[in-house]
Amino acid sequence: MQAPVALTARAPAMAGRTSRHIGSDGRFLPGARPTTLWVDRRCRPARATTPRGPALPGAEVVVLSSRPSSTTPSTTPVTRRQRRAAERAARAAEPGRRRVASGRRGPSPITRITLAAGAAGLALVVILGVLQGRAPASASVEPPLRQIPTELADGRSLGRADAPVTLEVWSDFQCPACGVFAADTEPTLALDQVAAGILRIEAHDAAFIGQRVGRSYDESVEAAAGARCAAEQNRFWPFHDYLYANQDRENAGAFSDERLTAVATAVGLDVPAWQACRDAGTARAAVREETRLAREQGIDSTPTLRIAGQTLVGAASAEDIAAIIRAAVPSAPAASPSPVTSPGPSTAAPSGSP
Amino acid sequence: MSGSPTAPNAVTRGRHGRLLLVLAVLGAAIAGYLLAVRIAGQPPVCGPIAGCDQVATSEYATVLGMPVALFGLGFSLVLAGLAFAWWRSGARPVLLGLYGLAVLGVFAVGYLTFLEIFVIEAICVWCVAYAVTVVALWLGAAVAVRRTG
Repeated sequence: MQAPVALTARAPAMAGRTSRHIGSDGRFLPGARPTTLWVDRRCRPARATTPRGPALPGAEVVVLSSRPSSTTPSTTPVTRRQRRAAERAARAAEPGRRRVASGRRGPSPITRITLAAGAAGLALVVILGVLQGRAPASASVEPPLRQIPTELADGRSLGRADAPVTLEVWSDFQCPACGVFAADTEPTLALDQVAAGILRIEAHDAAFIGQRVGRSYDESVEAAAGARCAAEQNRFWPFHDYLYANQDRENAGAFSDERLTAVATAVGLDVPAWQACRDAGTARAAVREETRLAREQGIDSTPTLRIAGQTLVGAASAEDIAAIIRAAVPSAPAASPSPVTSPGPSTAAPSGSP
Repeated sequence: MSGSPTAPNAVTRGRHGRLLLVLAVLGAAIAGYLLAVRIAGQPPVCGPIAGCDQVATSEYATVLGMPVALFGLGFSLVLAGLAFAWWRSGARPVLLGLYGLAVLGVFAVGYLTFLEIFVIEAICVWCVAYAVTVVALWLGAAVAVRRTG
C-alpha cells in the first residue's frame, strides 16, 4: 500500500447544501459532510476529477499533502522482507529503471554479459583443448627404418650370454631420446659389436613417463608389458623397433591398446596368445617392479646406459660406446659412423613440475 | 548504475561484497597452496581422498609451460580486487566485470574438472574446492547484480 494523498473536493455552487463524499470507486456518496478524502497514490488526481458517478458541478480537486498511514512502510527497514521491499521500491522509482527491467529495449546487461562471457568461456575451453591437444594417434603403424637382426635376439637381450661386455639399456618406450638411441645406436652396435660376439645388450624397463598423467592406462607400462609378451614368442626386438618407430607425443595415445595390437599384428605375433599374456597381468607387474628397481638404483632419466662400470645418461652415439668397449676389450672393432644427434634424456620428474 | 546508491542497496552491497571477497580470497589461497607445493616439488596433501597428487603432477597441470595453479592464483586475485573495488565503491561496471569474469571461470573450472574425471581419472580435492569457490562466486555475483540493479 502506497502513501495516501489527501484531496479535497470543493463545490462553491453547492455551499450550504448537502455535500457529498467521493467513494473509493469514484462515486459520490450521499449524506456525508466531509470534503476531504484519502485515495491511493495510484488514484491520480486527473482520475479523481472525473468520477464515474454523478458529476459535481464546479467541483475542484486539489492535492494537499501526502500523509503517513498505518500501512506505510517504516522508513527504516527492519526485517529482510521490508528491506527487499524498500529496495524494489527504490529501483522502481529510479528513472529509466523500468525500461531496462522490462526488457523492452533488448536483453538486460546481465543477460548480455552472460552470453558474451559464455561465448568467451567456450572459446577458452577450445583454446585449452588445443593447447593440451589430445588428438588420438592413428591406429595404423609404420615399419621402422632400421631393424635389429632377429638372429641375434635372446629374449629381451641381444648377443651371446658370455660376451665380454654387457650394455644395460634402461629405457621407456615413450621416451624420445630412447627412440633415437633405438633407431640409430642400437642397430649399429648390433651389426658391429654384438655380431662380433663382444657385446651383449640387455633391455630394462624404466617406465616413468606414463606415471606423469596418473591414468589407469599407463602407456609406458602397457608398451613395455606388450614387449615382454612379444619376447615370449621371441619377437621382442621387432616389437621394440616398431614401438620406437611409432612414437608420438607422450601419453597421447601412441601406445593405446588398439595401436599395440596393430604392432603385434605387424610383427607377426600370435595375437591371441600375446593378448592372453597381457591379460594375465604378470608382464605388467614385472615392468612396474623393474621400474621400481630403477628408481632404487638412482636411475631417474631415460635412456640410462650402463657399460663396463660406466653410466651414461642420454642417447649416446655408437662411437662413444664403441670407444668404451675398446677400452675394455682392445680387440673390439670400431663402430660404423652414426648420424646420431644426441637429444636430452627424459627424466623421471613430472614434465610439468616447476 | 548506482552512483548514489540508496541505503538498502548499500546494505546489500556490503553483505555481498564481503561474501564475494571472501570467496575470491579463499580461491586464491587454494591456488596459492597448489602453486607452492608444485614449486617445492612436493605432492599436495590429499587427505582421505586420493588422487590430487596424480592430477597436480599430470601434464594437464601445465598450460603454455606454466602451472595451471599460477593462472588460478592470478585469476582469483583479480576477482578479489574487483570484489573489493565494488564493495567499497558500488560501481556497477565493476560488479558486471566481476560477474563476466566469474562466468569465464566457471567454464575453465568445468573443463578442468572434466579432465579430472574423464581423462586423468583422478579427483583432486583442492581443485574441486577451487572450482566450488569460482562457481559460488559466480552465483553470488549474479545475485548481487540482480539485487543492486
